[in-house]
Amino acid sequence: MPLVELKNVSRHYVDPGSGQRVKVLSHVSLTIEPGESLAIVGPSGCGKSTLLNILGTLDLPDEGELWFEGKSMKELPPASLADFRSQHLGFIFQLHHLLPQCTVLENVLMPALALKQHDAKATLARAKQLLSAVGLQDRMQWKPAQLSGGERQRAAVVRALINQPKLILADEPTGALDEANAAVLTDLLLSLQKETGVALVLVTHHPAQAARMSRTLSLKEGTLSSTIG
Amino acid sequence: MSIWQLSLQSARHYWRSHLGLLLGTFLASAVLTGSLLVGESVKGSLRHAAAMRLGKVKAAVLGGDRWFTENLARKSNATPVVFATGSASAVSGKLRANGVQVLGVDDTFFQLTLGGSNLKLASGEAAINEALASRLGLKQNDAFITRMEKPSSISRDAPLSGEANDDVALRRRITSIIPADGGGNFQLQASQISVPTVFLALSDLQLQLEMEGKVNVLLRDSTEGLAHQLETQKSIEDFGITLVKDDKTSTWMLGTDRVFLDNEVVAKLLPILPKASPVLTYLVNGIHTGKGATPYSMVTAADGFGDGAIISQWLADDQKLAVGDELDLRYFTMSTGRELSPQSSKIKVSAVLPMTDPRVNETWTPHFPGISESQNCRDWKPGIPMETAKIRDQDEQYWDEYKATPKVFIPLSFGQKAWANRFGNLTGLRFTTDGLTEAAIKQKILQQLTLTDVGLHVRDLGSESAAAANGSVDFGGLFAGLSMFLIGAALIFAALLFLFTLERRAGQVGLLLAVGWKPSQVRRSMLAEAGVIGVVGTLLGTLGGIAYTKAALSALQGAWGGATAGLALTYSGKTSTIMIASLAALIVVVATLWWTSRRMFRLSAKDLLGGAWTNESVVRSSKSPIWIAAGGTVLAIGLSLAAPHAKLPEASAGMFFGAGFGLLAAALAIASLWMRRASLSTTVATSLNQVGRRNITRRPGRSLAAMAMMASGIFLVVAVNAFRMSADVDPSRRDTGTGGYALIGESSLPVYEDLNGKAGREAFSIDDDELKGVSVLPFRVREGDDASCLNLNASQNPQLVAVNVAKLVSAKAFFFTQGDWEALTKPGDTIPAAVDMNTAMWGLKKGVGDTLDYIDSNGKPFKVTIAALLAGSVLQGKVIIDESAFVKKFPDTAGYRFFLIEAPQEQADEVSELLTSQLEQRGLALEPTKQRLATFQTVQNTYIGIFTLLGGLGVVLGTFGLGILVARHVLERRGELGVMQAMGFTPAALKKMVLGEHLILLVGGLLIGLVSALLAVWPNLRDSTSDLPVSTIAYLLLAILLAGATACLLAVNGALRGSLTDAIRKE
Repeated sequence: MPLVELKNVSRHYVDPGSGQRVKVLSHVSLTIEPGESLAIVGPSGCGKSTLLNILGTLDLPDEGELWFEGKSMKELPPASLADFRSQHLGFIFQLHHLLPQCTVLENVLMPALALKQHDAKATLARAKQLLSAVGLQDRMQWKPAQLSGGERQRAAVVRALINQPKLILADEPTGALDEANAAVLTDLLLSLQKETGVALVLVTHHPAQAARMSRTLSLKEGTLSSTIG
Repeated sequence: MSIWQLSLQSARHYWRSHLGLLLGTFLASAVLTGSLLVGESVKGSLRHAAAMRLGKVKAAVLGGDRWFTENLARKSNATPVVFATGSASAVSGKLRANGVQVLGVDDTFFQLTLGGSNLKLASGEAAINEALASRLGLKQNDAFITRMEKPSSISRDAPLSGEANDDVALRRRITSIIPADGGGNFQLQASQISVPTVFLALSDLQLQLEMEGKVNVLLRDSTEGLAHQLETQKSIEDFGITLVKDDKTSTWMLGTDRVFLDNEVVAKLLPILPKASPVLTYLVNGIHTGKGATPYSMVTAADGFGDGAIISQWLADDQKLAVGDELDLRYFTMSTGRELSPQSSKIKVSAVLPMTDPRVNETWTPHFPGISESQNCRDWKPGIPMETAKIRDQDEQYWDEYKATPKVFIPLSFGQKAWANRFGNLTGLRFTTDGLTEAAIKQKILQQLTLTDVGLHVRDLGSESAAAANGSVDFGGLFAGLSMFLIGAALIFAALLFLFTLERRAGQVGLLLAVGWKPSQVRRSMLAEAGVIGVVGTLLGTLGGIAYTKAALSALQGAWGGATAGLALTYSGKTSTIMIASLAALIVVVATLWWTSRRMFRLSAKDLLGGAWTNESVVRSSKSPIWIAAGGTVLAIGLSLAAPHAKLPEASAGMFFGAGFGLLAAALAIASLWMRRASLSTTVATSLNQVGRRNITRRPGRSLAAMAMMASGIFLVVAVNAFRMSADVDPSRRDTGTGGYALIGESSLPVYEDLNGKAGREAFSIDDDELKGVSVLPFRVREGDDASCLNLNASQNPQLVAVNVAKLVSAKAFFFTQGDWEALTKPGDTIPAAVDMNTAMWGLKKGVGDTLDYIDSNGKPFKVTIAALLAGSVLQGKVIIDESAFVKKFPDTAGYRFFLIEAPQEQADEVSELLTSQLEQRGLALEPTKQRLATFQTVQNTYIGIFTLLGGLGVVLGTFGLGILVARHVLERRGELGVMQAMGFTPAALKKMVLGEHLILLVGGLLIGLVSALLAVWPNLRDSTSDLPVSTIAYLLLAILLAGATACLLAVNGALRGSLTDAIRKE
């Protein structure tokens, strides 16, 4: 059974200037298997982030449906969607969005607070283990402002993994990093993905980064027009 | 980590961002706490004043005109007191104090004071309180004169009650000036104002008033068992009952020192006295027959003498009368007041009694004041006009020999038809001894009567004073109400700053939502964080509130003294009040933040993460402003058209106020529409100014908030100030608060004479011509609490006054908001009354149809219904009923003590001077009605002044908020301004543009507020009698405008500081 199925999804926006409907996604269908890594590439404004938001249940399609592990997400109320996200999804954004008032460790533990039940001790141990795995074992009690850009983003990756999600959605996670840090983060992401068996969807502009995924989809004018590699 | 820990940590981390929230919470909490503490302190001060006023006294029996034995008090472990009202003057006569209470007390009185002093006054000594000492400039060992009326055991209004003006003037040396806590502030009326008081030795005053062994007030430190003790210790003397044995006929004559027996007493005693026969003896002016006339004789009406008149042998001899001759009895009767009406009745002689007949004796005649004690007929002072020339030698001889023995006996029904009056229709009950001893008879009488039958009932002064101290005006509520704009501004300020913090953290909110937090969880976490700041702000606000209270109390003793009318204020805040206020402030702050942040939590994680919140919102078209603009305009036009036709001025003013408010809402809605439309405009801006104006429409919500804040502040301040009352009205106008009367005043002692008549004026040596064109409208007064706005106590027994309402009906005097004078003449189960609207609303907290409970002079409760409300009148504080109803309930309350005087304006001062000087002995004090009105209006104007200050502070705070809003707005645009600078615009030009666009908002708000307010106060502008404080309003507007402009300037300068081009890179 596929992990995620996107069936014939369309999404429109209304142009605030002209008032006209602008199609962002048009009849997009997509299947993601468990443990798979998938890159989505395409020019700016092609709808990559919209697609990612729909996959992350942060946005709802105008048409079509999102299925996760054989269950439709269509009729779920917002509270159930929130529970779903906390249990099954992990997010990495271009900006880290770490809470400056919290330590690195606390930031990493943040998604766990959204879980209805969790083993606090085990979660803490896991957070420490993951932070050590990404080389932040000495930074656990540091505040985000004390970290470098790469370290912040690594913390954001760990935060995405803390609830042991089945799918990680990464929206240009290296967009704000220099080349060296971007490469380190990509390596880290892939190694953790392989280690944990989590599926990964990565939105990126960089063909090289996309090439390291098991599959790459190209989004153009709202349509997943081709599959490369 | 829990959500709570996160909130705490966030509060700590973002403490700088939360300074605005902290300040807003601090202010809201301080003002709210302060307001409630002001109320608490005023109440505490009133309680303190009540404690000073009554000391340890908790119970009292107030006899008023009824005197009872001193022994009754002593046997009941109570303190006997003689209470009189009069005047006091310095020996020089230059300074005089009216309305002075003269108390005859012994040492037990001073033991009832708070300090429990051991002061003892000897005969000839006097003590005075600080109020009198300061009024007359007296000190220890100074001499002074106090004057009071000699009490009469019967109402001076009653026929044959003796001479009216029987005063006592005492010269005394001051041995002590009694401080407030030593009993100096003692008074029975609930008022915060100390009454000038003279204390004399009880026995001294009793002697001077010829009331030895009698008192009219009894005080005790507890009500417990007092009523029972009084009933067991009472004597027939306490009821004013006299018993005279007629040994010749073996009968008893039960009479009263009040001349006429109370109907209540008769009804109870007639059935139990053996073979009792009612008697009515009256003084006739003359017994005329065809054969002659005998002047001033007693005539007794009683059963058992047949149908005709039985005359004494002396009378028969005097006029050579025989059976069958017709007697023409000529006498006076009295109407409602003391007006005498000569009447006569004819009856034929049916028998002649020899002077040796045992029935011919003086026991039939009661004690007539001014007659019974006289040596000669010519010395009589019966209280009716006497023509002493008519008294012959044989009349004097009769008096010498037979004293007040009746000369004629007539049937009871005949006598009662002629002489029954509101004081009674019998002067005695004659009954056989039936073997009973005097003691047994007294015992029998006392078993039947209770002291309440004659109006002597125990008053629970402790409870009354506690209720009174709750205050007629809730200063806590009042200050909270007056501070509402300030509290609102503080809350908006807090909310605004909190929103800015939230805006900056929109990404965090988005992230938490994205990772699975529910919006409610995120919101709770954010509000908990705000709550932490709120708790700190509230705690600081509590301290600020205490400081605010102390400042407000100080102002209420100084500049705002008009609102507290002489009450000595002390801080007395309760911990519970502080906690309630703090908690309320915290709840209000958090609720405000919850409400104002609702929009953010409606946004999706995607929008928040994408920065949709911080970017300019897409202007959505909404129909609400159209509806608000249309509704507001219709409301403004409708109410403006209807207002001039409103019957009542308050309704008209209210309608214009509503119209102004409608216009304000409409104008703001139109401004909102314009901004929304302009934001969608496709017209190309061709100048920097146009670009600036376009920026106004960029965040319409913010622009509108700035404009609305200015407009609302100005609307409130201008509109409320326009209601400042001015006493600059034409006092001769009947439809004003003066009723068309030029003078108003009170007398310390009752005035019995008709000051509109020649005789009445002559009694005070006033030439009728001197008062040409002057008429006096007298009011009877039943002592009670002043229920006007000058008394901060909640009136428990509002003063009842009575007037001949027909005179006010014909004069069409005063203006009513509801009902009219005629409503007072309509009979019903209760007595209809007119009350000033302010008194009803604030003093009594009642309206038309509500009732007030009173107790009549016989101790029977009755109800007074408010039937009419006077608009802003000089009659504040009084409950006014028709005189005819009053005298039925209080026949003992004689004479008039409150006056309205109609006089030509140009003579008012002269008339005032004449009457005050000629009625000095009655302690008459007059003042122009205009002045009295101004005194009352001072209270309202003080409240407006308080509102202006507090509202003004709110506006100032609002301008700070405006400044922050501007700074925020400009900071958000630093990048684009940097780009513009890069394009070649000078920083000065950019600053001018940014400043200009915000000044447009400021001036726009000012104009909208001002125009709306002017419409609201149009009736006041149109009415020439109202005085619009133009200069005050102009200063306020200028101050607001300057504060706003300064805030904008500072904000723009601060936000544009540094290199704008750096901002491009940051963006």
